[in-house]
Amino acid sequence: MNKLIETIDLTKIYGEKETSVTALSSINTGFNENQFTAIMGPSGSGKSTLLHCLAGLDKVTSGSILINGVDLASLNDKELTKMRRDSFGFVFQAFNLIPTLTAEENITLPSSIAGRKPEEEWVKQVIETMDIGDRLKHRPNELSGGQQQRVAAARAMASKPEVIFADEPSGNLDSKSSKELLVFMKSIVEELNQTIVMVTHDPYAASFAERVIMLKDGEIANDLDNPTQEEIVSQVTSLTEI
Amino acid sequence: MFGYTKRPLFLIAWKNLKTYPVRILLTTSSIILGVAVIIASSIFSESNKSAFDNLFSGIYEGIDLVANPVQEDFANDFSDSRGQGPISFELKKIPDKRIQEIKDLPGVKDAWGEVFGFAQFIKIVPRDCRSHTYERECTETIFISNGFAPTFGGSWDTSPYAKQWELIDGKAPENNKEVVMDKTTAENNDYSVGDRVTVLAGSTPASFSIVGIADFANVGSPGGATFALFELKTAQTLLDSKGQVDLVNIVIENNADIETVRTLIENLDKGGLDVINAQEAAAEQADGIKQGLNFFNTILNVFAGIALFVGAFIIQNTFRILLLQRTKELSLLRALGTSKKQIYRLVLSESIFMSLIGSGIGIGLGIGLAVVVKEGLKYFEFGLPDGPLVLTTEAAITGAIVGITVTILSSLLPARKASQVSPMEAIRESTLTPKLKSLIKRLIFGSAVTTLGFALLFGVLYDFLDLPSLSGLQQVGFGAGVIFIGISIITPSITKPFVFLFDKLYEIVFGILGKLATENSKRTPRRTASTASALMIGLTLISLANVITTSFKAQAESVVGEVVKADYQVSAAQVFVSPGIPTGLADELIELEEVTELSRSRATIVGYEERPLILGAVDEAIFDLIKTENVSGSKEEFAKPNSMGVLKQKAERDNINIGDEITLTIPEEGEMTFTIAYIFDWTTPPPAEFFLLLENYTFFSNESLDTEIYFNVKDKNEATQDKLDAIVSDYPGAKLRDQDGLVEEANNQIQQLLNVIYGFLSISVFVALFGITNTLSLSVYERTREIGLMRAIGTYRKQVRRMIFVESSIISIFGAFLGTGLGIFFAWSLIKALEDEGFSNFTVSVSQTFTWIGIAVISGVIAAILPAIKASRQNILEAISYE
Ligand SMILES: Nc1ncnc2c1ncn2[C@@H]1O[C@H](COP(=O)(O)OP(=O)(O)OP(=O)(O)O)[C@@H](O)[C@H]1O
Ligand SMILES: [Mg+2]
Repeated sequence: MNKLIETIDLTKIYGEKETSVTALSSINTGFNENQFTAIMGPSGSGKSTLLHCLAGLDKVTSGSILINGVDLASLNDKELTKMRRDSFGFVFQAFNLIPTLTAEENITLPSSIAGRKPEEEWVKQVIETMDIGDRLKHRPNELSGGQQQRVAAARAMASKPEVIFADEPSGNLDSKSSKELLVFMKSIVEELNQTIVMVTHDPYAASFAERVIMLKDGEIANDLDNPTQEEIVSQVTSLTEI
Repeated sequence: MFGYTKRPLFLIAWKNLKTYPVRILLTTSSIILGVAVIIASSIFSESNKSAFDNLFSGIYEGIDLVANPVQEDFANDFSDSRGQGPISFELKKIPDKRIQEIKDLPGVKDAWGEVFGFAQFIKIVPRDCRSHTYERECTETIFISNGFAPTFGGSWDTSPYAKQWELIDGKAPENNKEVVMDKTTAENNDYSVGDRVTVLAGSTPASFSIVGIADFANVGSPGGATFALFELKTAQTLLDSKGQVDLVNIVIENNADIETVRTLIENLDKGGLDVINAQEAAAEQADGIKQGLNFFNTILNVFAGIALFVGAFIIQNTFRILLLQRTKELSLLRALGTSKKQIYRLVLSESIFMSLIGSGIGIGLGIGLAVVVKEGLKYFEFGLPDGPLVLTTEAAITGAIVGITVTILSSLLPARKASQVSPMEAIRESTLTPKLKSLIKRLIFGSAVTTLGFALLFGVLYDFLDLPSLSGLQQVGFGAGVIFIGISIITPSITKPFVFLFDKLYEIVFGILGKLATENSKRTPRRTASTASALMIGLTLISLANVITTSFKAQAESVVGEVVKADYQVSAAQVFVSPGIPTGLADELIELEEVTELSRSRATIVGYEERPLILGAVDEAIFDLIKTENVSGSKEEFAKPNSMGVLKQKAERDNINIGDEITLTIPEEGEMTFTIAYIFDWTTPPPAEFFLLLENYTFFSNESLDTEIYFNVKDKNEATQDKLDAIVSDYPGAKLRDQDGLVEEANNQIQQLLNVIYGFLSISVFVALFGITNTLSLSVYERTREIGLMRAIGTYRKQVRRMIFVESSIISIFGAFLGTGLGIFFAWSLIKALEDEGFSNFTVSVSQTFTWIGIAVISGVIAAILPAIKASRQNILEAISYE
């Protein structure tokens, strides 16, 4: 399998000297194309920081991140923005949608910004899979939390990005909606060859992934391939107990 | 130990202000500007007042008494005359011999006569000729003046007690070839001792040598007037005062009683001399001028009021936005048990803090503004006296009180609203969509007010309504005011439909960014509307002024074109300095082969029923050169000896008919009787009301001046123009203009006035632009997350900036169109109201209207630069991180 993303000695330190916090220290790993990866770890272990760095939303302190061999640090703001727009998709934990735009407009927002026509067939398919076809003309405040997250996921899919970054996408959802979303994410990886990097707290959510990276104090504590939910739970408890 | 604060709310208020200095500055920016304008206008007028005090105490410095001749009161006799031509009835003066008589009186230390009148410094400079076929050198005559200030001439006082003028260079004038120039004029025009200068006093100019430069009361010259000071005899000759003086200045002995001396002097010529106490006169005259200046003050205050009114809109707006942002915080306070009243007080105490800060900065800025205005006026040579800037405590307090009051009043409503925040808001994610119901209520109420305003206005304009105790124009103003308030109430409700008009266009041009921008302005219609309203006020006034002046100009043009049929008009260049044109000019012109037809106008004063009357005389050609209307009788009859023409108005007023006989007392001729042969209407300002044919009477040739000359030429080309210019340039008191020149002159006057008005109105537009910056910054702040999200999913910085610009263009287009529309309508109403005064022309200059709209929109976009940059630089992570 192809390494889509590679990190080399990735280190992120917040703040100066005495008050500095090392959020990530010397992370060396990679993310394969067409794989569903979950990042887990206790609160404050650096999960979000890692995701933000990978997605070019935050600058690394040292080390580098290569996307298809290109060092993110070598890109200027404009090139980074373009990369986020054309190659990445995002689903955040909350506030994913522009309140003044309808669900449909939110879904096609990345291509609208790029001044491109969205691929209609594909968007239709995404919408169908997300089961939000009847909600397209509604504004976000008229949608339930689960529907909002699904719209966000549809947006992340619609522009056919190389990788989707998701930070606790199901964090705000009830178990039913949460399951729906995860099933969908899994299906697009399997059926549509999508690549997904997802941060989560929830072992159940992580069990949908093919690979689970465990973080602790900014370092990779474990890297599991196709773990079962039980394995994940035991790993998590061991991490929190120590 | 836990910290315990006695006044937690006060602490919160204070912390808030300390944490967000930018917010305070944004909110108070409009108060600052409003107060600054008040302070500046007060400083400006106070400084002028003190300058005039200095001026008059300067005029009378060292003098105890002033003897003036008693004038006959002719004012009433001329009050019903429409004549605007020269009215040169005899001014009473004091004979020279009286000065010596006064000097000889007991108690008088010294007395000296003073002559005073109009005189004009002239610079004649060479210029390129229009055509190259003419062999003479072409010149241009420049009348030297300091802005609008008058041009005076007078006598140089030689008494050791005279202190008005102080020689700062050279010497006093000693013969009829020497002149002393005032310091201001010398400095402004680069004259120094030894230079030669031409002075026009009366109708013939003469060349003088500048022998001295003099300073008046340390301000250069009184009120910026130009002053030509001659030796007394010369001044008497030039200023039409041979053997006499205009007034006598008197200094008394130290031990003499001023009243006793006063009575002694008056007794020298009982009933002919009016002797006044100089110091009292100084105070009195300064007061008089100050009263006159009050008008100017009122105007400044009106503009300050407009700026504050606009400011109030913005303050209210800003408060509302700030509080909306703090909804969570406030509702948390409520949830924790803070009462509504306490919240209300919290918000009010914040607004008091802000008003204090704003007013303080405003006063400081006002001082700066006053300096700028003063220097600006100096630059444009406005001719107000110079002097130090004066800020009275009174003015500072007034400014502060107004600033504080406006701020607090504008924060009352938002504060009340804030206090009604439910404790639940803290838990709910609040949406920004306004309640439709309140908008509909607004629409209904606002429409009712607007309709009432229209009803009032049209009622007044079409004469089926008359408001008691208001003049016609005030009634129109009242109606306009009501309409304005109504529209202001409606605007939030029509924001959506208005923006809707642009929706599609913006989406096509700017894509999704256009859509986002329009959606944003629709999402907060009240904010969009009140920001736009601020701009609307400024543009209403600007387009009102613009349309009125355009219409006046068009009117002037059509009047000149209709009324003056002659190719050229010659008139007195400076009516005060020289009331007419030497007759030699007309004689020279008529000799020219190019001149086909010419008419002179002259006037003299005669007696009619024991009262003075202006009698005019014209050449027969006048009826071809000026539009006149035949009422009855005929021109042919008028041309016969002993016939007289009379103006229609005079004939109607005094019931004069064809065939009536009029007996006049002509100086040096005695009584003469004329028969009314022609009644006509003279459509320009006529030189007189009774007319004779010039060539029929010799007594007019005693008058050495023509008031006007009209003539036609064979072929109006550049060579002819050069030839005419050359001839007229020998008579520097005369001014030659063709039709275009006449129109241009009328237009220039209007334009100058308009520029001043624009200058002041731009202050309110400036305040409004601050409002746009304000609103947009806060709106950007409010949408931190949204913008962060957009950036995260790949929106370029450039695109974010563009989105903010588009949003600001919507606000400014909204304000600009509403304002321009209202302004044009108000202008139409005003002109309609002035119909009876002869105003009929209503012209809207499309290009100027759109220029102003364009300026407003561009300024609106400029006002968005800072918020746009701020938005595009926003930290993405901060924006998307979940609190
Ligand atoms: N902007 C910041 N400034 C300073 N320190 C920060 C900042 N953001 C994160 N940190 C610190 O970096 C460490 C990692 O934070 P991060 O948000 O990545 O944790 P996380 O694993 O996502 O936690 P959670 O599960 O609670 O979301 C934490 O100790 C946090 O306090
Ligand atoms: Mg996190």
